[in-house]
Amino acid sequence: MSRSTIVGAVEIGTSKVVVLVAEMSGGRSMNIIGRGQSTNIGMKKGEIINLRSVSDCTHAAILAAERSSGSKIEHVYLSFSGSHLWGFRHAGTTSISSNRNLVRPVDIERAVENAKSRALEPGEVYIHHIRNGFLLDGKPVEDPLSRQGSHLEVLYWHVVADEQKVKDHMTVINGFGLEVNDIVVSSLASGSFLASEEEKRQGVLVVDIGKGTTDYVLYRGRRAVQTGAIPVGGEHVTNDLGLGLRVKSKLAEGLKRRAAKALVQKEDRTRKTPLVGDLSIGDSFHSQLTINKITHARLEELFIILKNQLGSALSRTGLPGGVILTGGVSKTPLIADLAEVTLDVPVSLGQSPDWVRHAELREPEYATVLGLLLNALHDQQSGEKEQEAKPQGRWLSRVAGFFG
Amino acid sequence: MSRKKTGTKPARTSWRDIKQGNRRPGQSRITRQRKLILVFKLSLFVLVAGAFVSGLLGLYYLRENTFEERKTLVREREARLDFSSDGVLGADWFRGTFGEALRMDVREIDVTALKKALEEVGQVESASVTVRLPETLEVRVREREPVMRARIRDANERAVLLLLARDGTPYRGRGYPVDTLRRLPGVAGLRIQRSAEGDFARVAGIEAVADLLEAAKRLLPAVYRHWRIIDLRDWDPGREYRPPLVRVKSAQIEEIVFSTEGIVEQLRRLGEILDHSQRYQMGKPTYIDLSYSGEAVIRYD
Repeated sequence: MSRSTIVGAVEIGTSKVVVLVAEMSGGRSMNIIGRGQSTNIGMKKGEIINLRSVSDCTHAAILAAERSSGSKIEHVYLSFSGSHLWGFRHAGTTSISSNRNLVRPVDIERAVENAKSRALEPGEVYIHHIRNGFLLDGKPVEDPLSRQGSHLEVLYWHVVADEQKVKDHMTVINGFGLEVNDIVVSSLASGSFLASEEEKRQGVLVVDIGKGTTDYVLYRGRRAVQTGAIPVGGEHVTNDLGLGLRVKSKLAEGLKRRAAKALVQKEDRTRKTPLVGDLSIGDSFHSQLTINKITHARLEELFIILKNQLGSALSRTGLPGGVILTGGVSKTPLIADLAEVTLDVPVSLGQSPDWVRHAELREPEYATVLGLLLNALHDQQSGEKEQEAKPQGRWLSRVAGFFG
Repeated sequence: MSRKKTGTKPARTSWRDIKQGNRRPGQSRITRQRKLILVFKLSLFVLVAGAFVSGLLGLYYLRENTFEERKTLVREREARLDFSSDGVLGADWFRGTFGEALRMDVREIDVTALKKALEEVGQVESASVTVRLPETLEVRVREREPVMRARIRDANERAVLLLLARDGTPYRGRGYPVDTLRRLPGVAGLRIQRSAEGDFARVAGIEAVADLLEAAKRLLPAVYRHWRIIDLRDWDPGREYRPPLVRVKSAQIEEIVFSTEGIVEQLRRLGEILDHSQRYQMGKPTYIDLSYSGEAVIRYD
């Protein structure tokens, strides 16, 4: 019988901090037992610009989550986003050294080491090394072990981040007295949660449109082959509305949430939308057409940037699974239609799996933290497997757990 | 998404290489509050633990102290001795012999029993035992004075020195200076009986002998100083037809025989005989029998 672990998934987003607390029993089951959320100030486009404010907001959310769960978080899984994130594809190669040209574990290790050893610029760190498969003598193979060949190539997608930005995020968590167990790029977290195995196999693009940034992950053959972040998000729509309608950002944000649509419709020509909407005296009315046009323009631009970044990968043939939209902005009416028109691929809104029964947790804002928890569960599962392989180690860890 | 990559070897390549820890810049008001609460809880724990330990120590101390105090009280409650004697016995002797009585509260001492026990000691003629509250045991002892010493053999055939008091009580003398004992004349020819309890029985009628010795000491000290043995083989107070005889062996005169009647007159005669013999240089008398009234049998060397 394994000891249950209390895991906290923390997403420090531009608009809010979301924390979920889950109890995991030996990687077999996961119960979400607590939730905390707080409005975040001090971030811009996914990057911390005021550490103290972000710490205050994050710690408030963690504390609320701990209180609602009634337990202390032991492990933290942190999502990470921002325009400083970038990725590159780099393959590691090696020649098969055995007499009979059979691939041995040492060959694979050497190829992997080679793939991961690419030097970065000072001030940059790797966040993920995502394996994209093997090529044995130029031919893709699922598992090259014990197969015959002379040249092994392992393909990797590497996700790199600014070291200082990573440190800032870790500082926030460490400031609460917790250590970060793992950092997962937001797009990978939400992608692993929203896209089904079949979609991942066929090829799917998961786009998480947040307030400050838009993260995406492209799956193909069950593997994340590309990730990225675009420094455009819901905040830009808000700013555009504020400028276009000459209203304050706060009011523009409210208007966006309440009335903005991604597409212009016929009935919008005559409709007027109140700015505040609470029937207060002096509330001004704005043309729904204008609101929608502004929203449409910015979101269309976002999808165009996305299309440009992905290039040929974004096609009906290349993405049978289509595009899944998630994130707070994905709640904008008709955004899927706009995306489908712009990207020319089937687009759907992200749907939480059936096992998420809590209505609020099924909202797109929670996709990333739920994805983090899934990631933690997989980590635990692999950890369990390792433990099972080493019974002595498990026994020792139990003893350590007793004292810890 | 892709950028130009350089070949510079970086200091660290993975985010996992970044050192984690409790970083001050990342601390928020909540963290500080939590820290304060933690410090408070720790302090509380330390205080509670301290109080618990102090309590335990206190209990231990109290227990030890109470015990000590009780011991002190007991010690304080032990009787304080006020001992005096008209003889040679002292407080140390009393403590050595009746120390048990002193180790109890004076109110618990059975003075009657103690007095009786004291008076059972041959050397003690009479004793008065008084308890003076709160803590003093007052003991006044009147001792017998030895007039002679007797050497007898006990049941184990060991020589035992007994002192004979004026009233005929034989006892083992304690505390006497050696000179005093040495000056005492020894007694011979006296049968000292043992009582049923194993003690030595009082010798009846010895007062007459004591009178003789005291009178000799007083009237003829120069003669008495040389008396060594008082032979009582012919001393029998029960004899009716003749008064008991006391034979004195002296360093100067081999034997002087006294009767227990008319002691002073006999001593006066002895003094005259010795003066006469010396004045007229009649020689050294070796035997003088003064037991015949008005006459004396004298043998010269």
